Amino acid sequence: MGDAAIRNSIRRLRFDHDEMTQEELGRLAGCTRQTIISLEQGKYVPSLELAFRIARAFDTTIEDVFEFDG
Amino acid sequence: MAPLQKRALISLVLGLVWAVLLIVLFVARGGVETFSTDASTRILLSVLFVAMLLSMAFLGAPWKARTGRGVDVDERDLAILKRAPHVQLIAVMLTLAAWVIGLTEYYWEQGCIPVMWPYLMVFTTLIASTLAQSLGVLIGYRRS
Repeated sequence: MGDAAIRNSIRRLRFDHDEMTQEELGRLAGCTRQTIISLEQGKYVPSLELAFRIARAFDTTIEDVFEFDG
Repeated sequence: MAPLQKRALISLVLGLVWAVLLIVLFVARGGVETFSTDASTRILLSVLFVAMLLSMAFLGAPWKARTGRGVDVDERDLAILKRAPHVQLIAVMLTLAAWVIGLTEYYWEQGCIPVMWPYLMVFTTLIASTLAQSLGVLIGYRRS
């Protein structure tokens, strides 16, 4: 879980979306603020379902949020 | 701190308080000698032990609640909760190994182990198991 080859742009996307708070993103994506923090730190790799919900919260595609470094 | 993490921390502290209380009571009432001869001591400790397990089970129970403000438990919390039994298993194995090796070596010459020991083995193993569950959750949060 910790050494994930999947990177994300959640932090940047939050700032691009009127500095959306972690709390707000968590509410939109259906997860806790702590999970958003963990995702931004690259400690946690979300399920496909959560990844889609996060992408939807930013009104974008999953590829714009997550990137596979494999 | 995530709600589940907070709950695990409270469970761990409460479990440690219960464990210390049980040990102090056990020693104060005469230790192994009294435990093997006095039924009231056994009953009292058993009742307190069950009370401990029930309070821990209530606090440690996985729960999922959605409120207007957001989500209390999500997939990451559930994944951490699912991995906690690994720590529990290690704790139980170590506790049992310590008991079995210790008792076997101590009573090797007699060829049998006094009957009250299995009681204490169960008590301590379950205490170790419940404490290890909370510990496992806390370790999970630290890692992810």
